[in-house]
Amino acid sequence: MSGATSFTSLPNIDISGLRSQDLAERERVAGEIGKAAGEVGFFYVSGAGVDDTLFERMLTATKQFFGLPLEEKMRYYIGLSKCHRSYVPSGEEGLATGMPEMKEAFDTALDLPDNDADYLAGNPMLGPNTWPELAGFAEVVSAYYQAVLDVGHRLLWAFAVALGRSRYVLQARNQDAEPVAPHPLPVVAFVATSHRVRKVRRTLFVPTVLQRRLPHRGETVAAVRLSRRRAAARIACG
Amino acid sequence: MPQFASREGERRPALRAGEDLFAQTGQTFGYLRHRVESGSLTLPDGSLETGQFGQQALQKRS
Repeated sequence: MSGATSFTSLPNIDISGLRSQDLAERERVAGEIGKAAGEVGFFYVSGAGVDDTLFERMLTATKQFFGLPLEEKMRYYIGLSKCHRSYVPSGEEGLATGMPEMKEAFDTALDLPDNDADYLAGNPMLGPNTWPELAGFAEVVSAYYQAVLDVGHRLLWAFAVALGRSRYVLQARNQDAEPVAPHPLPVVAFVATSHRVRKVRRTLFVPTVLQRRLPHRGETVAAVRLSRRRAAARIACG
Repeated sequence: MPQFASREGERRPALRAGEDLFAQTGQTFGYLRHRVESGSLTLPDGSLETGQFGQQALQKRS
């Protein structure tokens, strides 16, 4: 972006106002985000509203999983998944050349039913999560995933507003609605042209922006939805 | 978007976030690379290689 300035510290933006009932308050936070993204390109977020207890419970569950013997974890090897889910062992991820990454991980994404049409059609990224046989693991990881996803939705809204698009941007969940004229709107363009925010996007959420017609009003609006296809959120690294 | 298009003096091809992430994932997971190499998985048309953004990429180009 052209408004980049030199900086010596990163802004820390309290985004609790994005949950406000008051539109003006939500827009105020969106303005702060837009300013930080345009001038610095990175920023911290506080007040995300994700319960610390939930995070701790998720961490405990994942430590339990990563503490299992390798052969047990490999029962859930991501290469056995048809839709890029579950256990990523050390060395699996990395560039084709050079050192592989040594972290291990457990990948989840939007948990689609096993009769999902894209999954049945063999889409390599869409489908149901795979869970280890570990009491409470699926529940707490899913709850954390949902909480982070909600933060992602709020941030997407803020990005769209900050980019001067309609404040009526939707965070549509209706996956089956036909998009009207797919169009690279705010967040996609933002990601594509400002590599500085790319990492943020990749660790939190994967936006797809479409134009969508509101059936009850007959007007076309910009619609932001999380991509079903690649909404892989890395939940934890061992 | 027009406000991003021309000021950097360099045009970049348009990307779709989901497709780009898929292309990057397909190139950075061992099991997916094997599938691409064996022809059982195809990356989207126009996929970028890895490492196309960021300072390292800029310095490499200049």
